[in-house]
Amino acid sequence: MKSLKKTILLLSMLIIMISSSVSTAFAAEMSGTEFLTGCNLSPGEKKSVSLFIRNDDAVSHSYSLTAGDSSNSYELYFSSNGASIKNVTIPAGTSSQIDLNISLNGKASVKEDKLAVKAIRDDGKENVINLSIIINKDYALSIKGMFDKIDVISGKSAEFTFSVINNGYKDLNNIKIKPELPYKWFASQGAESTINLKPGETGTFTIKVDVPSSQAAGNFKVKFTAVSDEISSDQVSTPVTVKSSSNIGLWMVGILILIAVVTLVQFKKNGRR
Amino acid sequence: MIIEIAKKEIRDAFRNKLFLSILVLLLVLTIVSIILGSYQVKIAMDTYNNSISFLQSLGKAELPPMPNLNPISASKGFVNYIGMVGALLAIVLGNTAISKEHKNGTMRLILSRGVFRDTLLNGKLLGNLAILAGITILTEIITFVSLVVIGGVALTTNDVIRLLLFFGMSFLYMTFFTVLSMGIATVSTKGSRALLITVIVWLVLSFVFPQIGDTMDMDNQIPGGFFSSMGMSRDQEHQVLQQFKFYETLRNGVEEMSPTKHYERISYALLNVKPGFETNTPWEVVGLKWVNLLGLLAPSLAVWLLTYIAFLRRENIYQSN
Repeated sequence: MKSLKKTILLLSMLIIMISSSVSTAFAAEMSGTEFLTGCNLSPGEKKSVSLFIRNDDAVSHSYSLTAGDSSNSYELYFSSNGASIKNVTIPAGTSSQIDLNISLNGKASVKEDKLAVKAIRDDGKENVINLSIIINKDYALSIKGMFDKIDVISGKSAEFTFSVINNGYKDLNNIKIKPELPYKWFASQGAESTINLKPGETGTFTIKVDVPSSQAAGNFKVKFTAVSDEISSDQVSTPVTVKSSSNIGLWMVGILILIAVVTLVQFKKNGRR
Repeated sequence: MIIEIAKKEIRDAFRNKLFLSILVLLLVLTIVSIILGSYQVKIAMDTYNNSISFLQSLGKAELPPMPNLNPISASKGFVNYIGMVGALLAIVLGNTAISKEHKNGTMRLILSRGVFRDTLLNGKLLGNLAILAGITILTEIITFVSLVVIGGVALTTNDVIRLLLFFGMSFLYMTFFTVLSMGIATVSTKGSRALLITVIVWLVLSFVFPQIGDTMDMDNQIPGGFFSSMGMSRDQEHQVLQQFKFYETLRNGVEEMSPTKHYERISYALLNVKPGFETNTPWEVVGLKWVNLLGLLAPSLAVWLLTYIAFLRRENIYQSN
């Protein structure tokens, strides 16, 4: 009886050991600090959500990271230590911190949204966690360009006028326009001025952009974003067509006419030979 | 008389071994480059068609749109070959046109038969331009045939016009070097010296001046960009560039003196190699790049007029070299 009890005890210990090893072999736990509480996101805001992926398996695994199945459109990518990643390899028995960087793309179609974040292990095991996202409309800023297209001559300046609207429920402070310009193009006026807007108010900005004289003729895109202390708007892109300055052309034609006159004088003076 | 002189120029050119060697080199390079370019277009087309078939076999209804294959960019390599080999061919052609008459002592013979000097120059230029036009048309035909037969693409009307305009620019570019070569050969007393001077001028115009534009750009001084390496903000960058305004104007001016740069700029815009011209019509591209077109035309005309003056005033014309 004593030996039977010992055998049962040993067997049950063995079962416990086996069952625990089997469960860790297939369990790759994924936890996020904000997963349980959800993520508050304002339009134009870029947020980073920390996720922890734990590999409880006995061997190292590579995890492929994806996120989707949301109602709203988001711009998102995963990063680790500041570097953008799509896959992560986690040694056995350790966990790794991954950041999900997320911002709203365009306008939100729903206020309360869910985002399925998946970590697919190299052996096909899939872990999904639904991240709840609440779109915060306290702060909302939109920008609209007054012109669809702008023509400018190289070496001259172009003026861009924008209307900026506070679509949120709270005040927006120190709103300014942040331009993204091609190389050697500079915003000479207007980029430093700031305004404050109350909810529903509209402000106007005029930015003067200098196009260098060395700029070859062509079509370019100039991008602008309205930025306040609280939030930033979507980026607006304005097509700009740069036309060649007539200066160099006039120089060429002038020299050509001068040479033509000298040639004519030569012919008149000496006649045909 | 002009036509007779031109015809003789064409006959003589095809007896010139140096010209024929360079012509063969240019044609071989062009054919290889166009065929390779056409194959690249074909591979891209096949890849797209295969992916569409695969998606259709999976029952997918939403198919990706066809990517912009830009078949006319198959001529991209041709820009470089014309820039180097084409220019050399034009130089040899122009130099031989004048120096052979000096060398053979036929200059005085022709001029003593009541042929005006300007008529002689015009006839020679016409003959050489006809040769260059023939080479351009030949490469044009090779390009169209390769793109359609090998690439398997149907060119749009805009593509055809863009290609025709591009070959027109190539012709103008080679014309400049023929005119320059004839001009220097007219001024110089020795044909070999004239050829050497023309080649030096070509090297300066085609390689030194464009390089000044690129390498002397302040931001190109350090790999990765001077301003970003120095950790400068856009405002600081602006302030620095304001201090170097004269330098920038000078650098830009030197670059504008290069016909090669003008040829590259207008050609890359027409061939859609340079992004930003895809939505423009071919004529809009020419309208935007009118300075580059003028940069190809005006120097040729100016050099040609100066050649008239030099030839008209030259007194030692009856001396043979």
